[in-house]
Amino acid sequence: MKTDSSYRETTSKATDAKLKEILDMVLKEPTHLNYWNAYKQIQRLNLRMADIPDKKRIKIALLSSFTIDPLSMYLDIRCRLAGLYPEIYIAPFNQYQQEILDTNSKLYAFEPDIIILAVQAESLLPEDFFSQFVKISKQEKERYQAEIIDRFKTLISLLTSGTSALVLINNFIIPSFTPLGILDDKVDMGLKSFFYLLNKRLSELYVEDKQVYVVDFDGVASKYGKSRCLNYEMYYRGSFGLSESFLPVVADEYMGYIKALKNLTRKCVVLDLDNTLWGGIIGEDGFEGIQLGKDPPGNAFVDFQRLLLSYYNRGIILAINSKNNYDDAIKVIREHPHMVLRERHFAAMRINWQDKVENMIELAKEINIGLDSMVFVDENPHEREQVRQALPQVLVVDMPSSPYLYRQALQDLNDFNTLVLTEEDKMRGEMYYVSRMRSELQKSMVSLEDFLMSLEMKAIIKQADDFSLPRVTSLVNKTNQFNLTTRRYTASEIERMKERKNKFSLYTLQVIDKFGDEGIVGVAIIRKEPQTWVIDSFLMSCRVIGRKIETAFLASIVADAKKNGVSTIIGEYILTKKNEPAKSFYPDHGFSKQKDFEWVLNLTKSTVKTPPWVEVRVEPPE
Amino acid sequence: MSRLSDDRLREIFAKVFLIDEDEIDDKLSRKDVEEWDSMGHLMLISEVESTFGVFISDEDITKIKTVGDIKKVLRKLGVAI
Repeated sequence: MKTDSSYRETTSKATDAKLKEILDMVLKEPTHLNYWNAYKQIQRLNLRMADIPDKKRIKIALLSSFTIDPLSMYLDIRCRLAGLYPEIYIAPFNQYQQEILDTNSKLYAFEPDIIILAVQAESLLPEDFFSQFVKISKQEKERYQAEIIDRFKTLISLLTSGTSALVLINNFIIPSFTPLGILDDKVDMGLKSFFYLLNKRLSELYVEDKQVYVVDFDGVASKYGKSRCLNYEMYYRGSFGLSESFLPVVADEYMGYIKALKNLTRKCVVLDLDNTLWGGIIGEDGFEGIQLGKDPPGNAFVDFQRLLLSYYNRGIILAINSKNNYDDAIKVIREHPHMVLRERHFAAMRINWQDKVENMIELAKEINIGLDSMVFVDENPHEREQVRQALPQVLVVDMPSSPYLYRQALQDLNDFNTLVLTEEDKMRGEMYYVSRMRSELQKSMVSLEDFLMSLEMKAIIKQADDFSLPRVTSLVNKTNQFNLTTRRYTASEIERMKERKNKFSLYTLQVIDKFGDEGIVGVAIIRKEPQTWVIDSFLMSCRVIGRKIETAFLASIVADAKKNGVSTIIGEYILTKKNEPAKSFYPDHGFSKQKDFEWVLNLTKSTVKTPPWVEVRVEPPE
Repeated sequence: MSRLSDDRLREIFAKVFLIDEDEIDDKLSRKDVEEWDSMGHLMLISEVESTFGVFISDEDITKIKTVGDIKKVLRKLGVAI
């Protein structure tokens, strides 16, 4: 006899297998008909959402002035291919304004994580706007623009106050047709300028906003081709605002945001060398024989490296995994006049004759990131297949056979997006290089203590302020290993905690050593109760693990608690697949076990001491 | 040719409405198929149009109630089926 739960397990396994079969079908032949069919089949599976962990769930609300239903098929399937379990709510046709204004609407009851607002300009302008455009005065055009902006502002402020969802608003497609024809630019605000200026004002409204993002829908449409964005037959028959072939492009654009929100962002690009960073094979063609420089195809390789450098500058880590003689390859990296990427740009290198799968695992360990944060770029299809099969977590890019198309293949990935870009992100590449130097120093030291003393570390501890908030959000959402509870919070949730000073304290930890400034690398969120502080979150970037800096951070919080007359500190540890390194954190610091996963420190009896190799500076908030 | 067209139409029906290809005959009608709602109908028409390279008039679209009806319209538009 099967018990209830084991029966449920077998059925859920069968459903998972069926789901995989459906997704494989769509992947193999991604036609509109197959998307429709797969989506309907998935709906019929009646997947049990109750068993799905929060971090894999995503609730998407679509608000639109046109029939947007077919987009949900593409979003649903793309989310599932990314390992997520989506729930999608589609507001009734062209009722987005009512849905937003009515606080009892289904939209708010749905509690979305992400809201997509896709509104066509036509629905916000008088019916005769286009036909009369040539005759409308400039003042009147400006009035229309102001009205649209005001309307958006009102609707969006209702969304941001009524939900904690990430709000995506499409900007307007600048029409390619204008009744003024070639004279559109010769009048004071032609039709194209009208929309161009409208889009500009819309973007400016939300530059600083952490919850609202303006999607460059005009840019997406241009990239695909504006004349192909609409299927007129389906548009007039059923108000379908996106043509069948445009739907996957639109879904991919939104997936960039969804992946960023759900922390599915890739952090590191692992590169092959021969025929990937340069043309030819260094071991056969020699230093002078490889293709890299001003002539084709060398110029394409130079441009590809420039793209990688631009990613490096925004915080993507680069690494090398190549089958080569180390001396041959490193000579090119160090000395070739046309190399754009040099040794200092690579966080780690594996240039050897070892299996590439082994190398990947070692690189992940050395850089201290998960394999699921890595992208593998290699021109050799066999190497790609081997890595793909052995390490399915790694994103293996289907590189085109022509090197001229490498750049585009990498530009098309939507996996590097983050919702915030911090100063630390921009410095990341350098920090990894410095850390490589640091570990070389460690090798030359006798004891760990000597090594730690030699680093001359300073810890700067501060309450989170507006300046550090984006970094705090980024750490809270990205840190996996040294993270005691792995609780994720959105930027607006964190901002709210920061403002409720009597209920919460948000501490940040910045580390400086003789090699340089690591920036903010640790965050602690304290929930304050009378007499007791609960450590809701305590986390530290993997960059500084192993330097006992966490002890200094905890000691400073404990001292602060004492100063505030608190008698007990409670710490929690929630086990995940990745946070093993933080497991014994509380017992190691004198906390005693209260119940499963809960540790307590009695401040009247004990305390936490700052280690001698860290100089702590507590700074007041700005 | 007609055999091939028939198969293609059958595939569209099966995939749009999630039914077995064996269940599809000329008599199969809108009221027999749960998924054949207005959205499904438009999807069917759009797929038939792009597959066979035809344009079906709105009058015909509203008249189509069975698999046989669609074949009739296609024949009228010069498709051998």
